[in-house]
Amino acid sequence: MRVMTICCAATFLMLCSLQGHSQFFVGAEGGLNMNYLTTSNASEPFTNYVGMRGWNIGVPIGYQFFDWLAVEATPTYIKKNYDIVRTGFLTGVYQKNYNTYLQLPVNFRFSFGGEALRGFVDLGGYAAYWQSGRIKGTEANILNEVDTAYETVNPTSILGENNGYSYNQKYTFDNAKDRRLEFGLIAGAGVSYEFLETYTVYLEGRYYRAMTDQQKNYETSQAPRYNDNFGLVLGCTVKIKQIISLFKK
Amino acid sequence: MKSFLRSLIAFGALCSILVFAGCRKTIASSPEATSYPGDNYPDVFQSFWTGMNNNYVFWGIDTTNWDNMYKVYKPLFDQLTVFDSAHESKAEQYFSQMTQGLIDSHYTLEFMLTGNAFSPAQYRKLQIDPNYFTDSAFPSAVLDSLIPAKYLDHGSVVKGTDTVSLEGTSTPFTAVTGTINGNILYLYFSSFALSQAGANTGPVFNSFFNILHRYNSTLKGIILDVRGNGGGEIADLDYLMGQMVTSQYTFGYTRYKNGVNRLDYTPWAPAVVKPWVGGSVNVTAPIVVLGDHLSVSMSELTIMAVKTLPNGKFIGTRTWGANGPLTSSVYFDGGQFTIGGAAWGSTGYMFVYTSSSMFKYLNGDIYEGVGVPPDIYARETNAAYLSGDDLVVDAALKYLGL
Repeated sequence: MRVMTICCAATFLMLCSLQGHSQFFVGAEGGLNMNYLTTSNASEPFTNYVGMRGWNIGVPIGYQFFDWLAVEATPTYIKKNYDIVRTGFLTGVYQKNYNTYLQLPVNFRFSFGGEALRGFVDLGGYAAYWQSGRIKGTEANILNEVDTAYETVNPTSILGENNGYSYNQKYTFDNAKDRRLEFGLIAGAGVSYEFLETYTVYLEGRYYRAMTDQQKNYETSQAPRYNDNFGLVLGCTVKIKQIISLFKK
Repeated sequence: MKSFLRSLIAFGALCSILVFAGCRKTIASSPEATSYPGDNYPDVFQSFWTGMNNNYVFWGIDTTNWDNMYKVYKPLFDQLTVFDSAHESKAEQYFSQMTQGLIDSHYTLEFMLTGNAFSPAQYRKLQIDPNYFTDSAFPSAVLDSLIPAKYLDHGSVVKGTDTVSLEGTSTPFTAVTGTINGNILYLYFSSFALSQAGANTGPVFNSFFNILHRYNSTLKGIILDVRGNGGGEIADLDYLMGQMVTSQYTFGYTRYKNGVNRLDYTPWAPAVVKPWVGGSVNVTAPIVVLGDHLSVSMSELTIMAVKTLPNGKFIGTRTWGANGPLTSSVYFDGGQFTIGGAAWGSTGYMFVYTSSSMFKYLNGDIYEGVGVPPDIYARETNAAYLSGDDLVVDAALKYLGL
């Protein structure tokens, strides 16, 4: 991670000295994403970690060095959600995890194509802060049995044996367990369209790959947990210089 | 075309940098403890350590350094090269040393090769007080001679003993009921197996609940005696306490594991008593529960269920300290497990008996490993018994105004 930061900073400073197509741009973007928690649950029978939809909004701020190269940072508010679902006899027990991150992706944008319609790929890294969480689910409640009349009915699921306890509450962070800073890589590809020589709209498929565990390293043989976030982003940027000159006119 | 090539080259270069910049930790499979065959001691150790790592529900509050246990004991188990009596003795010693500080007071290691067992809670209690078990006149002596003869109204006494099955083990099940001074209803039973009450104990509970339902309004108090009661079935909680209330109430909270790592927990779920489906009455007279240092598990949960009631009072001594309900780990992602099933058959090399859930009393205190403190301290002794007194019943009657 340190190597990556140094390389990015050096490249950025070098490119900042260049002239030509150079100019700043700023904009807004928003999109939907699908987040998956990648972990090992081999010892959890009848348990699936399922991806969940989320959304994100951001403010891209960038600098265009050449027509083919730009660098941008996009302060982003992003939801990275996932679901733990029990199956088989345990069907009905689940926990949806709604996690909010404040994320700062920094990436290079390599573009190609015509004057107006261009394709591009993004590559970079991000740092994110796990701001808050919410958990919603149902668990079987051992001290709330269903059959206390000593009837001999075979339950068809655990919730027929123990009444379920349904909850929808704020997630309380555990300082011993939760790592709230997340670092990762970005890869994206999309198309952009520039009009009036000032505005650019773009549609991009983007992948955020967490490289750091969601948990602190607090035990031997810990099963790591990583966010894998796949999103579709629609955004628009404006060239600041053009806007200023419009105002001057 | 030119810009495309430039993009491609720069993209490739950056890709290389990022790939080298960081990699994820390997996501290794974390097998279940039961997946280890158990053909040798190192494998048995690995299986046990992993099972505890994944299934033990108290890591959030237990101070045992389980990582350190791995570092210390793995080399020792590596030296045990063959299953023979000398090595087995060493292995059992090591397992016992590893677990002797665990707070789970249900916790028991059952070694199937020798039939030996180790309970950390029992070990610690005997270290502090070698007479922990012997310095108690309870239950049989007091019940047979003292309480029915001295305290219960003649003609009101109903008592009996059956044999019940608790977790696959045949256990004598004794119950006694009767009235004191005509208006205090007394009930003793030796374990929570009320659903199994047979020809001899069934009439005891019928008598108790008949009086409770018919004469509730005239009762001056109820005494539930769970001294020496080792616990049993959870369903008895509603069956017993649920007949004394007409609305559901919460007396604590439980939580479970919901992942393989040590601190993966569900939220706290309310532990409730529900009015029994077969009928209940609203008892407003004081309900006194008598408990002692040998009141375990369901006894302790019942004590806390009584303590929570505005008319409830716990008289006796601090209880054993095993509050976390337990069942097979299949249901709650944690709890008891067997290791070495492949090499040693269905009973395995060792059975680890441990809670499936952590219990927290309504006030936020967790009494696991420490026991539930009484509201009023009173302790029966052999000396008092020999002189014809039950000091705990005396304290209850004094509380009830007799």
